[in-house]
Amino acid sequence: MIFNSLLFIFFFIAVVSTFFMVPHRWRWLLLLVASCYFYMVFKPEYILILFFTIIIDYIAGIVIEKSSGTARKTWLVISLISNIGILAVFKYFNFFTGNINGLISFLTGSPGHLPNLTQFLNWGIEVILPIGLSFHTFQAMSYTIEVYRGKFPAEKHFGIYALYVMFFPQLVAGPIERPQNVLPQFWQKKDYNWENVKAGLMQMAWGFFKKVVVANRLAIYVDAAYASGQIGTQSGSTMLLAAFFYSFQIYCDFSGYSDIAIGGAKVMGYDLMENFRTPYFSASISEFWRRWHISLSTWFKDYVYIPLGGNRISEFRTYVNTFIIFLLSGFWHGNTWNFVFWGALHGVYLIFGQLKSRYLGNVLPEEKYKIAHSFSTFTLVMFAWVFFRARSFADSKAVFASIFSSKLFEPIAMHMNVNHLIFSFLVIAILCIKEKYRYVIDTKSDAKFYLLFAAFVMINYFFGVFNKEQFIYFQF
Amino acid sequence: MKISTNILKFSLIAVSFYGIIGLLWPTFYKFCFKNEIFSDQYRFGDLYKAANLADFKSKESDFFCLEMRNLNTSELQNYAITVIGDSFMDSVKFMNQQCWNGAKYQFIHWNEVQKTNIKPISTIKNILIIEIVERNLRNQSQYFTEIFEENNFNKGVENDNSSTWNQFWEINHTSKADILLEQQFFGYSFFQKLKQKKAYFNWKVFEQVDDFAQFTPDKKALVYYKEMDKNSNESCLNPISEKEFDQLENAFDHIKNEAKSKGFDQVIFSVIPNKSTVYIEKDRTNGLLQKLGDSRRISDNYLNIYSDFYQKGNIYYQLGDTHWSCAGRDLWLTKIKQKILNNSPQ
Repeated sequence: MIFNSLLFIFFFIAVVSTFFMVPHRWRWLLLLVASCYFYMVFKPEYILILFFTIIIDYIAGIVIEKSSGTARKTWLVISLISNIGILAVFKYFNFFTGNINGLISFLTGSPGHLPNLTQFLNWGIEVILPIGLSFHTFQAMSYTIEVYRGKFPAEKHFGIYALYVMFFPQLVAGPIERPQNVLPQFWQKKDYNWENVKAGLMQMAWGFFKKVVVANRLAIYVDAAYASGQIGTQSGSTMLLAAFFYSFQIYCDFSGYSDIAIGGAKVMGYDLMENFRTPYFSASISEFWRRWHISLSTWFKDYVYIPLGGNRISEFRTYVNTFIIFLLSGFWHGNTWNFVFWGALHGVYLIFGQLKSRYLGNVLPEEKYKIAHSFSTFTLVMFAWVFFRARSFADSKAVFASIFSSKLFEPIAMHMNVNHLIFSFLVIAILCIKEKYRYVIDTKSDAKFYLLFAAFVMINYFFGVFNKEQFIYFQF
Repeated sequence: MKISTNILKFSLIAVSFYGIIGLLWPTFYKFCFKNEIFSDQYRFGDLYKAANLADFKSKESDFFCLEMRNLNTSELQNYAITVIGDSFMDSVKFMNQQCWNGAKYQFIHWNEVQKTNIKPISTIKNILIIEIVERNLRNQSQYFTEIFEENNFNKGVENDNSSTWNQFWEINHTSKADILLEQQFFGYSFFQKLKQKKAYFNWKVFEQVDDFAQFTPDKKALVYYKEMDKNSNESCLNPISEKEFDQLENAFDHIKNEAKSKGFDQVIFSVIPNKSTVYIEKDRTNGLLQKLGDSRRISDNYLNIYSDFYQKGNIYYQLGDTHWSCAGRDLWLTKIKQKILNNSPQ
């Protein structure tokens, strides 16, 4: 189920209304059933995959807590392998077989014949990537790791544990939560709190604004610029504008989703972690990654970077670890070389940033030249997004070839008319102003809340672009 | 405060329950449509439903062609007409027994062809009419040779028996559920006005219309977006090779020969032009309909209406719909009856 749909709105109203009428001891069941329905709307059979990992991790958590020595490690490994294994099979099988087939073809001149996943599994249906797979597997792994580290007790209630993995607001695109934050909340009695409802609804309204008014609108221009076969014919100015728009499209799409998820949980009284903190005002790449998709970057930091030694080892090893993390991050985002390259590029950015801090710290210090730093950081991130959006490496190259050539000075393509372009810049400006000044929409006054919420509903309806585009991060 | 909160909670539950009932219970839906509790969102046309532009709204009477037909003549009473066709032959809106001047009539939709054993319906003169709209012709023609395949009427039957479980998830798939919910809650005139204002604003200020609908180059008509996509073989702007055209003629020949062997006395092919095709200059199109009309191989069996429809889109097509108007339907009926009577074997 996608958030920007009537079905979700009715589903949400039904679940929340029933939530506050059902006794606390049955709320976990209501939320679990609702979350199962939410997930099954995509493809009902895939709930079995989800429950497969849930059962293994539930058992693993209990056994790890009760065991000692190698048994603990064994069960941790079982849990990690089951989650990573599911991810590897559904997300990366075709990537590996496709690349091996390509290599065979290159080396021998004959095509490789390794099957794709649909052929390999032979279930009689086309096998597609289960929605939200990358998110809930990482969330599940954080649970068993925390139990293994002794930082969190194993959850004995199967239903509550299943709900931790499947809680519908963050099931398919995060935030990737930690057990310490979420699991205890499912045990707490959540009384109806009008302030939470107002704050949650307002955050959802703002999230919808970002998604339907900003992201979907910018997508009109971006999609036209990146349309199949069109990139090479576009001017550099067109592709530069498309790159700029895409930076805000992906930000509004993803952070909008997070706002709807966090706001939706808030309405019921649950607090999910912040996932974005005005990332485009960052003065460095490292700061950007402390503000963008916070739940993923902290996951990699806590469970991969620090165990690899973090920055407590040699300088060279630190840089290697940094590069590995971002390579993995790129791989997490997608199963094509474009995503891997995007991740590697950010790794290189970060390493250069660290080198600059270490050896050229006094040159153009950040504190003094914040605007220049923020601008350059945004530019680097914007160009990296080209690899994210383009369908292939060849397309990415074509985009840069357009931008960094005399084609930059050719006229811009009017994939939108002038009014539409102005409006697009206007909504980006509104977004930036709100983020720059950390403006919080005040919901304390009831009258103000009703007016603002009604205004948001009307604005989102009137200026929203409703073409049923899925959220970009759903594909991960 | 507690009373008002409870009222709000129960109201929200009632509203969402009403929505869920509509999603899960087809009988409820049919009852509401029959008793006009739900308004038919297609009553002003499929293009209007997508674009919500008040300037491009069909007249409701355009969907009641059957009630407008004066059918007192019986010059076809010695004929049996079998039509294989699409929504242009819709039995509620455009075409039924009464349209055929005394002839026996049966209609088989393209979707039902594989499940139907197509054969003449009586011992009098049997006419088979193959009707298809231009945008579906090139994709559908690859299945023409299967029309008369023996025992093909068993195909597809198993698909009808999908389980309740599959049907439930089919309905609850987001895109379908949204269509149902929008029909249930937002199909009324008040919401129609709101949608029109939004659509008008987007059209006039941003020159944007819904993805489903596009303007013809002269901006005089709304058409289905694929009809304007030169990369889609549903469009008259998409080139057609000689080889593909030959394959089309071969397919028509095949149907003609098979139909005659099954007992049909006459076969008539009719391709209804896309609405967009009649608004675009002939030399800008792929020329498919002109070629079909000029083809000597199929001229005896082909009903050419392109020249009649060309540049008369505002008369023969509906303003807010992809289908023809009653006038367009009438013209087609007149011409096809002429062809039946003129070509009728002795």
